Amino acid sequence: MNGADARQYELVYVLQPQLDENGLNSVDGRVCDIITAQGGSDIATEVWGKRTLAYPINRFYEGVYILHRFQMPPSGTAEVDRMLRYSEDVLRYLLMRTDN
Amino acid sequence: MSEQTNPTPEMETETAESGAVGEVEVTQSRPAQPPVYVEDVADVNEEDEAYEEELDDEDEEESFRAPDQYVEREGSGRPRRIGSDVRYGEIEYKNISLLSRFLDRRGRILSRRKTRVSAKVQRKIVREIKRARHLALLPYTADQTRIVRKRK
Repeated sequence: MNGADARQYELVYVLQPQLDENGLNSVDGRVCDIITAQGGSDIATEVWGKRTLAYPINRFYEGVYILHRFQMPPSGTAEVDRMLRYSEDVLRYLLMRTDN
Repeated sequence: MSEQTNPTPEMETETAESGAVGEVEVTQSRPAQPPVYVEDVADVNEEDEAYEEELDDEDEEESFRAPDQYVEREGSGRPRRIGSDVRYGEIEYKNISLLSRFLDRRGRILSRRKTRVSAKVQRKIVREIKRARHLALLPYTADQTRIVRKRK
């Protein structure tokens, strides 16, 4: 059943601004690894870069926004969710289904 | 400390200005600051006064105000249909410039009575504004310090 009914998802997350290039790439890579491990494919990445936050989060006034679009069976969302929730560098994230 | 609460096109320039204000307050959390610190402070004071004046101006106007280019006026001069040119597919949490038209100065979502859009469109707008707020793309409220200063 997995793979057969993969769905289209869109994921945005906000990373804390003090991460350097390596830090960004490592978080980014971890997210992509988990998506692939959960049977996801066609990962497209858009980096919005550093933006001023509309309100401070954890005393940060800026955040680095990254967006991924991918296909994944719905069973994988829990794992992606968990990873983002527990990483300290992720200030906010939003995982949405975009195919309906 | 962001000033993105105004749903106006000046938003961009305003944010740029307030960048200086934010910088000074942020200094504790960001150790690496350029040594132009003293100059910055002077600038901020000037800008603060500018804000005060701006706030006074705003007080005289009615609470609801949309940017002119988005408002079609009838004979009576009453603003109507901010969202008349909105396409359903364009309403997205990423489209901040569009969504911020549906916020008032304090960051509150405008009622259907004011926006005059269909129920379907209004629902979508509200949903997407809330998503954008979660991601800190839009404010939940106007900056508290500004409101406090205004009451003084």
